[in-house]
Amino acid sequence: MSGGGLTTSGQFLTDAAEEYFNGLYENPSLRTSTQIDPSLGWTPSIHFKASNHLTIAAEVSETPYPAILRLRHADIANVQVPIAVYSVCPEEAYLEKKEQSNIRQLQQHGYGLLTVDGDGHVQRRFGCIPLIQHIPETEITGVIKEIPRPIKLRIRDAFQNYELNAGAGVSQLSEIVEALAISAAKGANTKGWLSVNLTLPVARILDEMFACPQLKSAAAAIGGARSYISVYRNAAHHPPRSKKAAYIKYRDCQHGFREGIRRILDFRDSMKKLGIQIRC
Amino acid sequence: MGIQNPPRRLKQLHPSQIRPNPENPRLIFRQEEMESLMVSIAKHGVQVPITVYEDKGNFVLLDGERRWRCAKKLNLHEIPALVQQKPTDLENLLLMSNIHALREQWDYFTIATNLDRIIDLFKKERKYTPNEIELSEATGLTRGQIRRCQLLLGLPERYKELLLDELELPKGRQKISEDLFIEMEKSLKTVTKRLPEFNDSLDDVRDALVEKFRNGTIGAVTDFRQLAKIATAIDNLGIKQQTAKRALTKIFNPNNSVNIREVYKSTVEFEYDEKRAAQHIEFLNDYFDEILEEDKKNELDEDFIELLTRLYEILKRLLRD
Repeated sequence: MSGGGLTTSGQFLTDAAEEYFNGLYENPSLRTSTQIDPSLGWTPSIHFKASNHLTIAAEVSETPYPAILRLRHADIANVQVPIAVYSVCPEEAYLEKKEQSNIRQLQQHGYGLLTVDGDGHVQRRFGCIPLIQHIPETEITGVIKEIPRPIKLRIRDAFQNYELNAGAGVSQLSEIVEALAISAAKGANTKGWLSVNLTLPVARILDEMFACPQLKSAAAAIGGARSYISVYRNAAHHPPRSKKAAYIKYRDCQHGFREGIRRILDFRDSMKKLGIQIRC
Repeated sequence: MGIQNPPRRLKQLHPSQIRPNPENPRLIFRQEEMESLMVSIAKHGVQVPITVYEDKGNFVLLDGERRWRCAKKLNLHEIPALVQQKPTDLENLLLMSNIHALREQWDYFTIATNLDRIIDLFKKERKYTPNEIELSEATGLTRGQIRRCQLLLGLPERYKELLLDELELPKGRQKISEDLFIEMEKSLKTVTKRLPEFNDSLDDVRDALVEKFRNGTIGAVTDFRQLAKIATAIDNLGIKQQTAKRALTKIFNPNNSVNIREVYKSTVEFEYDEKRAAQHIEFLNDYFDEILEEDKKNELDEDFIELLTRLYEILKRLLRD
């Protein structure tokens, strides 16, 4: 079907993209114009297995953000296989002024972009991650804009890590929760409400805080932080054994990252109301 | 030359069972148009069955390649299809042409590319060369459309490729159109008929005209009609061949920014206007003769008399010297 695209001009782009993937992923078994999953309402132009639990797909099109990728964004994220998607378009279309907002949206939505010049050379404009793992950067920026700079920087760092390795990013976020818990315990010690040994495991420190009458109004936030650490502290460990397990891991990490930020904000707010300044 | 309506049956087919028809004259599927259709199909499904014929266990498209492409892209598991008997090569080609001639969004070029093959198959299957009327009846195209297609078919290959590349672009971004080549070729035929010496440099002439059109020196495709009128002025107005040749050479020179309109204006426009006016005057003269002969002078109304009086004044001024 003309290089697996919707229109007649896709073969040149498909050939160029195939050559690029062959070079980058050591000649994977490329499939053109075949379905990834029967439940997914999209037949990509190209797809291949990058690893046992990651499928990379590409949609060839005359424009940077083809309608099919907009239409199927949620569906791709919901297939029980982690799928990372590139859009492949002519360089000429990428340079067009009217396409710039579409290109920004494409990136915000977690897709990658490859452009092909007149000689068939491919340039990767930005990368992609499995859509199930994707959290828009604008969402993170919006959520953390009210919090102090040091915490904000640590969250941003964790987010960068998350985009490269979902599990590691979530583990890093749980370390931030731990650091806040220790800082809050230190503040409570100073006020004379607690006398907890700060070298104890964080879970124990949080248990002590939970039982402290002066911190009763923050019990929900303390409990939330305690449970978050126990669930996500070791998210980077235990690599998935199957595509489905990988999908579940990516999905849980995405939820975990969002939840982690909420826990951090709740914990900080609750402590602030009690007059405990926390540093990170 | 009607195509018989064979018995048909409706089936639900998996899109992967279907192959595109190699004779489909629609060579171009534009992104914007395809995406609109795809979004509609994603929302409402395929509402109108496609038409296919069975061939060695597969199904070949007769009508509905755009719907089929969208269904494939959307990974639909079935698509409604009317299955009919396998047509002969000529019937297949004629069916495709008729289907596309009836649609709005088709390009002359895509139809034109099949016309030669239709003629060849006519010769092979029916043992004679169809004339323009027969081609028109068989393909559903008007005779005018067939003539336009033949103009495109007569283009040298590199212009066909240029046109095809341009047709791949969305409508809004296309600068070179089929109309440009149709108008240009029509006028160049007229030019070379009167001035055959331009035949030797016809491709250079085409290059210069296309470039002048691209850069806006030639403002509209209809300007080419004036190009033809400069050439026909040799017969129609009696202007010298050398004058027409000089004027056209200026237009065909790629190194200047001389356009058709200005050359037409400075060379033959006045003469053409004069000729048209003369035709009107002759008509008026006949009319006035008739009035005088039939003695209907008294029947002329006042407004008409007033117009004649004004004309008389103008004529006095014109003829004073």
